[in-house]
Amino acid sequence: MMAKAQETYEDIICKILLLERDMISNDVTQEDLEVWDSMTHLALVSELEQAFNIFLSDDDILEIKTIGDIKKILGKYGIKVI
Amino acid sequence: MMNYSSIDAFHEQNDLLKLVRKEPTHRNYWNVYKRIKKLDFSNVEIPTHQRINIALLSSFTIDPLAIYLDIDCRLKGLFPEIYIAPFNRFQEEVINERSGLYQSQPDIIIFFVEVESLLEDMFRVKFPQMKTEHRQAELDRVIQTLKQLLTLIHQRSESLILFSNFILPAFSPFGILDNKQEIGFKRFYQSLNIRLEKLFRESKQVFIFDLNEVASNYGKDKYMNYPMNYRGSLLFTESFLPRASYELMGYINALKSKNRKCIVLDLDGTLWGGIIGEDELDGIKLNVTYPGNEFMDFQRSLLSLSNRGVILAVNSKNNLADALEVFQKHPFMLIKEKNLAAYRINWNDKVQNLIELSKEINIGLDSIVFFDDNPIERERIKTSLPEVHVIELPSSPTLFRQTLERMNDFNTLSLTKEDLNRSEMYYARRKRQVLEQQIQSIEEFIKSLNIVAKIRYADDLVLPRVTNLLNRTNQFNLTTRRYTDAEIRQMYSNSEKYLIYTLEVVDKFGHEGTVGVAIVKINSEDSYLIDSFLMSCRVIGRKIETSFLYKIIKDAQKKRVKNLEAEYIPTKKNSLVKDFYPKHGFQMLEKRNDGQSRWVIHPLDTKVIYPEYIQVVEE
Repeated sequence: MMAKAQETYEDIICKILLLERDMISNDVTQEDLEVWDSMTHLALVSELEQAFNIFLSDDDILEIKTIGDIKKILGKYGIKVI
Repeated sequence: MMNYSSIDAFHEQNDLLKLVRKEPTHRNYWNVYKRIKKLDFSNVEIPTHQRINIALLSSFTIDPLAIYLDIDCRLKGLFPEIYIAPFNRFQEEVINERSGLYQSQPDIIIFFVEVESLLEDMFRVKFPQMKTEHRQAELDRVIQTLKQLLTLIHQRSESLILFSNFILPAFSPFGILDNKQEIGFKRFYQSLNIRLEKLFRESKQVFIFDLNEVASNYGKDKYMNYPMNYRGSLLFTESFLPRASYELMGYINALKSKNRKCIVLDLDGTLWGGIIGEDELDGIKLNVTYPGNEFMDFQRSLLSLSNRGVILAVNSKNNLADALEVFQKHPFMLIKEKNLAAYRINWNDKVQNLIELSKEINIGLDSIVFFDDNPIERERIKTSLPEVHVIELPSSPTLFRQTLERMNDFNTLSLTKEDLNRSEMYYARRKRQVLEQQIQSIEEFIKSLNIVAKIRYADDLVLPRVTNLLNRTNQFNLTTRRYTDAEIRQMYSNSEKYLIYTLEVVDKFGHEGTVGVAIVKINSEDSYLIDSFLMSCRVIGRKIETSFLYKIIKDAQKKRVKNLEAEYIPTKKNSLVKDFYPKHGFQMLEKRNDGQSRWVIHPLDTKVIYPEYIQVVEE
């Protein structure tokens, strides 16, 4: 179960933000990545919501500024990823 | 001119596209799209027929659809440039002559306009209390606006214009009373759509894209993305995007001559159920009632397409006379010979047949769609002739009609330059000639199948199947001796006198089951006779028959048998195997006037080498 969530999470981050797996780190920010514009932001939210069957609040969406934030938000909904 | 980095860009694009081909998820489309955007094609000269400029004008954020359109074009071998007009600025873009829209020199302009963007914000609120005349006036006003807009663009641009119609709302403030109103809430949208269609029915340039129908077919509950619409004006759900793109590709394919023109059909198992060579005219499944009605209905849809100009042809492994008899005599065979532009009904390789068909009909292989129920034949065509669109037919024929009707490949626009010039014709001819030299050999093909032939003595469990095969097999059957179940059991229990072999075949597509039987009669210690030797025609042409025969020779060798005799008894159906024994090194002992022949091989003097690429499992 855990392994599956981790796999899905990494797949989403890599594919939407165009990152290699070893580039995923908490302190990667929105400013660091050229691809991470408002459209990408929504695509990311949508992928996470659908993959984990959750619904992010408006605050959640605004709070996400780094990859670390994504993990934090997912944690809030009981999805633990490292 | 190409430089190295451009060639790399091509390769890289192909690698990336593999990902969406294999797994067409939204995530993968997104990823592949963004990565392809980073590739540098600047030094590549892309021929005009592969380029397409698309402009998207919409009242909401249409970017996600652009991702699908872009990739779907690339999967078709096109190189799209997509211009996305600024959010909800479609009117200004059309009116301003110097807008990005006109600068992008589009081949096709696609509008996605919500009618709400042309109505006041409080329209839905006020509608229940509006008088009919007021509703009518609003209708007229919207139509007038659109008419002006589209007329303007029509004057300024030569591109194809697709205007999406309006999705009828699932909601009405009137609820169950909506159609009791002269212009109900839903009727308001419906009237707009009808008037739009009428307005441009004669136009060769403006097409109304029936988005309402596309959304309905997909599901009105599922196409709209409420959360994302509020968050970022993204109207469509991610799962609806591929459907919308698929439908739009119908226009793009027609515009860029990527449409298909011809359906090539297999016969047994595709146009009728069963095998004509085995089941005979009254045994195949083709009827007004089940089973067989699904094939008749499939034929109706094929004929429906044929009547609008799609070419039908046949490519089948069969005796020509057997197959033609169905076309000529079967009461429920709806497709007749006259509906076929050409046919190849023989025992040749279907790849060769397809190439011949394309030459005879004079169309490119890339205009052909191939329907065949046999996955092996499909794979053979797919690997050898990648331009041919091979349909993944569902295993149940009850789904054939649906599969055909879901296709979006046969569209044409009256706008297309139909008259292809001569040079293009010669180009196609040249391409075909090159291709012929590249055809994968039958050996290579067999090798790729990973065939395992399991040859063993029959056991109790398989005896019913043995009887069944003995009595049903006509074509690959050397003696066509029919035995009852009791007779077979008699032989089975008399293992001093009879050896019953069965052949089971497995390949990378799965299990074919028991498909071959041989009965060897032990006349004496050093003389054996192959009394029966037969195989289902499903597996013919893959050299499995050779492995099967060699196994019998090899066993005889082990037993130090001096003479292994065999017979061929001709029937109306089995001319396919008349040279089977001489081809495998047997010498003739006798040939009678009625065509029967007797053959012999001396196992002790014979070196048995199984055909390559077939793994024989002896048990």
